[in-house]
Amino acid sequence: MGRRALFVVKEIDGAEPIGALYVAGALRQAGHDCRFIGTRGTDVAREVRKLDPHVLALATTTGRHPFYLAMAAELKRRNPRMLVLLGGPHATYFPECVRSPGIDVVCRGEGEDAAVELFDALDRGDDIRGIADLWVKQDGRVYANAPRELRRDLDSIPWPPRELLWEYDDRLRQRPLKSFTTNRGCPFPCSYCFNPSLTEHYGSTWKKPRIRSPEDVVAEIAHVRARSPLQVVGFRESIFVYSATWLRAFGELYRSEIGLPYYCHLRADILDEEMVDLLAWSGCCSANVGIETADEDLANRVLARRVDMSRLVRGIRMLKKAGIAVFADNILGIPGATLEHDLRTLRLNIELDVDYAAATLCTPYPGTGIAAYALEHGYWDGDIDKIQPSYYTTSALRFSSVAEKRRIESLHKLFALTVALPALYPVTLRALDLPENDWFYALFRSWYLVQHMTDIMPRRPDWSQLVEGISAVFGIYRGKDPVFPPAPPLESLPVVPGTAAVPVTRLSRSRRRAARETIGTAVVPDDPTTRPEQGRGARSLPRAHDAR
Amino acid sequence: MRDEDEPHARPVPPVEERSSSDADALVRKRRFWRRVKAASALVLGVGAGTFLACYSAVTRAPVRTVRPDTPSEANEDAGTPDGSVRSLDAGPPMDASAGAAPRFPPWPTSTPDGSTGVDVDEHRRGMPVPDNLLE
Repeated sequence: MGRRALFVVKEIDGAEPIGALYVAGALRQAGHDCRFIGTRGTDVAREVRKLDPHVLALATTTGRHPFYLAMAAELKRRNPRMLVLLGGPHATYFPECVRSPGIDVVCRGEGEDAAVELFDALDRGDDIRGIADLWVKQDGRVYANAPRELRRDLDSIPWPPRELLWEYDDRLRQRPLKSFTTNRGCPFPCSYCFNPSLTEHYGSTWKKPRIRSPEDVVAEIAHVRARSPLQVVGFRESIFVYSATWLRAFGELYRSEIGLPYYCHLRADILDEEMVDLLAWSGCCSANVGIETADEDLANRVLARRVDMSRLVRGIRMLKKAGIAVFADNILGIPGATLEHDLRTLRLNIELDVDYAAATLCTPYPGTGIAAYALEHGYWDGDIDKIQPSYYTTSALRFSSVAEKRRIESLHKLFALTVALPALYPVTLRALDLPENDWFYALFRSWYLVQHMTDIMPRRPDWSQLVEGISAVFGIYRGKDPVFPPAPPLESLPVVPGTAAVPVTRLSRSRRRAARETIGTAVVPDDPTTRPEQGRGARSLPRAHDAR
Repeated sequence: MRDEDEPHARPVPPVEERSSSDADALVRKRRFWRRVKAASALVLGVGAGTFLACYSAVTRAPVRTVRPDTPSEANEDAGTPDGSVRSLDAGPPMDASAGAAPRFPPWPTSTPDGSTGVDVDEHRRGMPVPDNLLE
């Protein structure tokens, strides 16, 4: 018969929710029914009442979690029989959020197989407490289960069923840019990224990238193009290509079957001339490469990038020479760095003449190495509720002074435009002394809009999109997210092993884990039943809801 | 099938065989247009920032009037301690006498029913390109 799942996605009109779509694809293949809705301009409670799902499926990052936890608590209060499943990065790195009223199950890591097993068990009326990858709240306890083996053959996973998004809003089908992935996993240990945390979760198998066959990737793109307008293909994995052999095979198929420009993420220091040539030949129009910081010591000691800056610079220059637009990623406000470090990064971007110099504020997402480093060295107090929904606003870290923090946050807003117009550099230096203001945000967004619609993800002019984008630069939007009462504090529930028990060795061995335990033990004073090796839970209860 | 006239579909000579003058010309051309676009974005951003600053000042920041009978310390500007621009979190509008009513009617705010309005919080955290790949 199958179960009914309703996926509720905040900002459904942003990048396609590929992870949730993959899970929905696996569920559909197993005979379950899935629907997607967005939150902006939607009465979510009414939709839930109307669709009456067996399972409400949510996925969130840290920073957006207050919204999702509040929504889950309210919807669960109104529909107590409905099971609420939470996945995504926040659930993966902070599974203790299952203690939040309203959440019944959290899924860690890749969710396709765990979700199918859960839904099948629900359908049969079986016990769900021992399913690998899941933390299940039942009978006043939390059952923590071990991770499952990774599926090596990505071609066997059903393609994301984008038509579920299009059924909700046909404007999503009309979008000229669609997202795809070609691989999962990453061998690099960068401390600001989620990949090393997944290595800890899954073991070293995560480090060996699992790569889809070129045939499967191209067939999926052709399938999407046959059903919707498509002008630009966006590849969203951490690193698009590791091998020239794969790229050559992919390029031959892609050129003959698709022939559209594509955007991808690359690591510039592993590129050689053959790979750059193949990228340009196969249709790569723009590439996102991480510079992150101009300081090699910070890059390798704090960010753990294992990067050779001279190779990185050479790789970027090769991309430029091949006619590929370079969209550089930079991180400002790194723990231990100063404004001068960030200005050096800005000057390097100017020197490399990158086409768009994106900057983000360093954010200590739980489970990452940078969070452990910041906590250990006193740059962060461990309060995850200080993490903003977006890393484009303000930093959760401590700096040498309030003025330094404000200057770095202001530089972040002016960074990209200053790289594009180097003559602004002296003006930018003076502007850093001004307080936070709306002009900085508006300049940041206007340049982002212009450059993304032209060089980075070029598409034919579409007046409705242009009007929508320019309106957003002026802060004008259609609709708003519903407002829910803040979720109640996390409950003090004991965590016990499920049938698929969590190996203790995996839980307690790393420095990153130790730091997370510090966060947890500091804020859950009254949970004597929680085992030390599983006591990484729980964040600041009194502060947890103040930020909303 | 691909269109052979599309630039991305044309064979690309190996990087090392391309003449540096061609590459330099391409880079110069792109840089020129990038700067033209950046200047346009600057104008757009300044306009949008002015709009948002006015909107914030009208709807969200406290509005005080200097009263001759109060000490000078209390008559400081209602903005941030260092001076010039008011914080968005400064609190509800206040009138000098009643301390409650705003001086101007507020702008419409966006609502769940899909009507259009200004949302300063969203402006500060969201991105203006609907299908961007960063968020």
